[in-house]
Amino acid sequence: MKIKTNLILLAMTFIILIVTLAFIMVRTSEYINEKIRESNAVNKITKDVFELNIITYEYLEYHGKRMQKQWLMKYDSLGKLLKAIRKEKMHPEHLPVLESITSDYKILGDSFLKLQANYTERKRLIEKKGSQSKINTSLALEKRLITQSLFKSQKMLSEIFKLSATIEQEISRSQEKVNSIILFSIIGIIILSVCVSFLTIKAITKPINKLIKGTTIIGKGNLEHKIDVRTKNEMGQLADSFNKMTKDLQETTVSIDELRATEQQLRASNQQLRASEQQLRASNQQLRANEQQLKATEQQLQESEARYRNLIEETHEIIQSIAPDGSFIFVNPAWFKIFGYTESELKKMKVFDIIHPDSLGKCQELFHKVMSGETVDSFETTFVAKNGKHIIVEGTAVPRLQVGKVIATQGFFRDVTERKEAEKEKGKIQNQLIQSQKMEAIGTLAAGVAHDFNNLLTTIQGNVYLAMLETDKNSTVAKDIEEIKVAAGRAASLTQQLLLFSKKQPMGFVSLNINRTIENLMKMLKRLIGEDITINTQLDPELWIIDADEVNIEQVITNITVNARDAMPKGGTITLKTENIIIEEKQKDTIPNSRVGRFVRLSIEDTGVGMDKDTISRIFEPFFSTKESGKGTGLGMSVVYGIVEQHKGWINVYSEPGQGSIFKIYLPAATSKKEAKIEEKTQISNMSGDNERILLVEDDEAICKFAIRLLENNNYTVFSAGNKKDAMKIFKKENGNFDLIISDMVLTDGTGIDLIEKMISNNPKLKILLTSGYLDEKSKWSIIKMKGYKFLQKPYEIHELLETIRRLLSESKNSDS
Amino acid sequence: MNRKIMSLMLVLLFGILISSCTQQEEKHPGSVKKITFAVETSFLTAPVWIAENKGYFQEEGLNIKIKEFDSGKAALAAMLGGEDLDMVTVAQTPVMFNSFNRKDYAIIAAMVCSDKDVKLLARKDRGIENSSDLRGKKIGVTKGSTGHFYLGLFLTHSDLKLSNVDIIDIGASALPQALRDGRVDAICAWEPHILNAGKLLGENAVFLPPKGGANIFREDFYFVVNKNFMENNPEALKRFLKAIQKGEEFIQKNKKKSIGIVSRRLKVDKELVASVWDDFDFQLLLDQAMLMTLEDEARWAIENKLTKATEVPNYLDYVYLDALEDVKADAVTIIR
Repeated sequence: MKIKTNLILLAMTFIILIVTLAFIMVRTSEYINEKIRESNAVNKITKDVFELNIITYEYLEYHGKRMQKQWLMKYDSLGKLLKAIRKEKMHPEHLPVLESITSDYKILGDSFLKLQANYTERKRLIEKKGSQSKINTSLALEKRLITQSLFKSQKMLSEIFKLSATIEQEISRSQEKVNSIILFSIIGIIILSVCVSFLTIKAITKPINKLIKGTTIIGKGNLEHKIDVRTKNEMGQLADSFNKMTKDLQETTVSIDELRATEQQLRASNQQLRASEQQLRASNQQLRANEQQLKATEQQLQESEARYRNLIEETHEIIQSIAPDGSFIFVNPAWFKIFGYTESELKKMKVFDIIHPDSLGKCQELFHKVMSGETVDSFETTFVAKNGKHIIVEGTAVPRLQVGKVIATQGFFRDVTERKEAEKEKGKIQNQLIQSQKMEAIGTLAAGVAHDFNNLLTTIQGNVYLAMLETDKNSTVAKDIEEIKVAAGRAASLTQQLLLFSKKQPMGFVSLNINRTIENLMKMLKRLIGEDITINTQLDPELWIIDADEVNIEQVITNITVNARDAMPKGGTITLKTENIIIEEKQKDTIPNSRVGRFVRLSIEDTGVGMDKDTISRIFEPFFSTKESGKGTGLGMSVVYGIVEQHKGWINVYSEPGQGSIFKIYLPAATSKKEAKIEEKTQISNMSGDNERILLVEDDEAICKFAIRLLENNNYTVFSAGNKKDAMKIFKKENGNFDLIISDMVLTDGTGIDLIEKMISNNPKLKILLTSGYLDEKSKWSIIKMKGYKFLQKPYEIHELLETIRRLLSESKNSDS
Repeated sequence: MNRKIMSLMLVLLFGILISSCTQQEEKHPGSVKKITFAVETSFLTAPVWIAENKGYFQEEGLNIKIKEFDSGKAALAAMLGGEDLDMVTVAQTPVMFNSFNRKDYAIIAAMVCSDKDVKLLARKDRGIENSSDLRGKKIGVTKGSTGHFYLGLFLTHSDLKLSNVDIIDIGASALPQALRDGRVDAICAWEPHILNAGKLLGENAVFLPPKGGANIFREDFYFVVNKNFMENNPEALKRFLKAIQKGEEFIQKNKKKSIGIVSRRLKVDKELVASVWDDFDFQLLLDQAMLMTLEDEARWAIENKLTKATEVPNYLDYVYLDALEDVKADAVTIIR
């Protein structure tokens, strides 16, 4: 039998034993359960009998209806229980006991019914006051019946207890039996398991041991040995195979001597082989050294290649290699970055596609030069990027040779676009600087000549006035003098304008409402522009106040209006518009030259011929004029520009040829909300004096003479001095007894201000009139403004001088009175 | 493979859902049932206050409308008097007294038993030191209540009769005040009235134990239903008892919390409630002793001519077993 079969049989034996044991246990358990059920039923009977007893006692005590009902219910319930138990498989031994209990149960029922009937009857007899002997009989019967009931219920209980005890004993016995069966079964299974296991193990291990022993003997060289295993299982088969193998070995074995000779031969061959191996190893080492050297060289090459590659890839220079047909062979990453083309686009392009049309001719020429083997150094050209941006580059182009033949051109370029643009911008700034310097020079020049020029003009205008007084108005001389007067007036105006645009003219800033300025100016403007031109105003009634010099603002409006008039030879409309503007950060970029803040915007629009861009760009340049020669000074718009700038504002011009022009002037709004009070001038009919004493301090002799003459003619007593020192002498000599001091601001030994300050310290009621052709120091103007001195700009009109003197002296008289 | 597992899981999930829905339906068949319920405001009715507080009635699909009464006697009288009440809480004495004339109510369960709830408290200043001093004294009780029966028992154990004392009929909640005002010399009542009276009298209060110190009286507190309601709503009664059962379980497991809930509900000091809490045995039951007690009280009432009836009623006719049997079968020990 095979080992496998042995093991299967062993396993089956165990399974059968375990199943048998389980079967026994289940059967026994069922038996015990049955007994427990019987026991429960008996217990239930016990409980019912007890409860019947309780009710019986209660009934006997109280004879209540409830007890009757409950007794009958319980009795009925007990009857059903007894019936049910008998129907079940009760052990035959217990049936007689059950029969006895059932019999007692019936007697108990009869007794209770009789008790009930007897009680009812007795109750009736008592109620009906029946015979006492019958009542006594009834009582005696009740006692017997009670005894019978108690006896029967007692008997039932004792039988039930007995039955219960029997069943308990049976259960106990059954449990003991089960325990014994389980114990013996387990012991049996263990013994059987040990025996069967022992036999099986022996059946397997015995042949194995024989095999081990046999193989050891054969291993020692005894090929004659036979392994004796006679079983017919796998061990037997193994032993047979072994014996057969031993036999085969025996037949094929050679002698030991032969083996030794062969061994020696093998050893010799082996030594030879070792020598050859050493030679091979030496060669191998040489090869390895060569290989390492090769690897080092290769690594150096790779490193070098990586360095160059990195250089080309990281550089910002444009590197490109171009084939003879103009197609790209190679470009570096900077090329892609600057030109914006992709690799696939590059494959379809030629180098001439990215050259600016203006540079194309020159580039083609250079390309052919390089292709013929020449190197082109330091040339500049313009490429066009994918986005259309012009890329200005400087670079070198060299031929790439292979076997003495040019196979491509290689270009190395630097993007200089930004540098070129910066240079362009620099040029522009330089131009502006030059322009600014030019303006400064003109200003300096104007300031330089203004003093003397104005003095001269004052003299001319004064003497013209005096001459005219003594000349027949209809004479030719009078007309000539009139011409001199006009020319002098124009010269004065020119000087004034030069000072204005060069910003050398002091400003008299006051809180001003431009609307009022425009309204006051309208009459004069209408006269200026003539009848063919309509002038409209759109004035914001809520317009903010600005800090401004009213005279200068009038000058601005007048200059632009006159320009507008000249731009409308066939008539048209001029519109003056004022409005409040708040410029916020986001609007700053939409309005040229602007800044954030609150501004008053004055717009002057005409429907004239308009201007081209070139004219607009030069309109504020001094002496630039589009008018015919002699018709304009070329200073009008420069003056406007200068005034606006001095007011910390700016001016924007919008115009196109044939579309008219708009000048938009932005002036910062003042913090003050009220306009300064405008001095109302009363008309003075009589310009002559009343022998008032005037000290005239004037370093220009001609002016001094003319002034003395003028004043004396107008009934004033005049004292004169040419400098500060002389003036002080006269002042002291006359004990300061003067009504008015007229002094030039610029004296040879000091300023007019210093002089009058000293005089006022002696006589605070003294009236002062200062004159000057030019105030070179703005601070002086501040003092004049601060102290409230009267000031006349030279060249002044005669009536202006007389009127001013008259007003000053009248003020003095009024205050005295 | 995964699909098979998914399908299997879906089928299982569906099955669980169906089964849970079915279980839900079984739990509360029909719509929410409204029960108008008269409850005595005392510690005895603690299971009701707990069930109310914990929402057990709602859990059982019941809408319980509670009407509070001074005593169980008043509650039962109101129900039998035709007031719109489906159920009341009441002790055995009023049940007994009414059983001589009415048969239209039934006990569905006792919720609590106590042999210490009903007590006799007297004024020291009226010369009362022990039970024998009660002779000729004015004793306040709520006639027809357990207090009345207890007084009878108490006097019997003290070799006295009801006729030996002057019984003054006073509503339960007015008894403490009557004792304090001296309108009576002693009172016989249940908690919290005895505790309240003790507080009012202070050191002038004397508690009279039954002679020999024995526990002479087991007070049962019932749920009594209108028979008409009982016949038409057997399912609602089961659900009601389930809710009470939950309340009683809560009481067994959470004594402190229960005392808190009851004291808040009755607006009585927590310490006061705690001091008498162990006097009550909260458990649903219908036992044989209940019938015997009722009959004993009935016989007492007949003997003392407190009723015109001469025959003890059959109290089996006043007990409804089915509801409690369904909810807590082992609590029904009436012989049958």
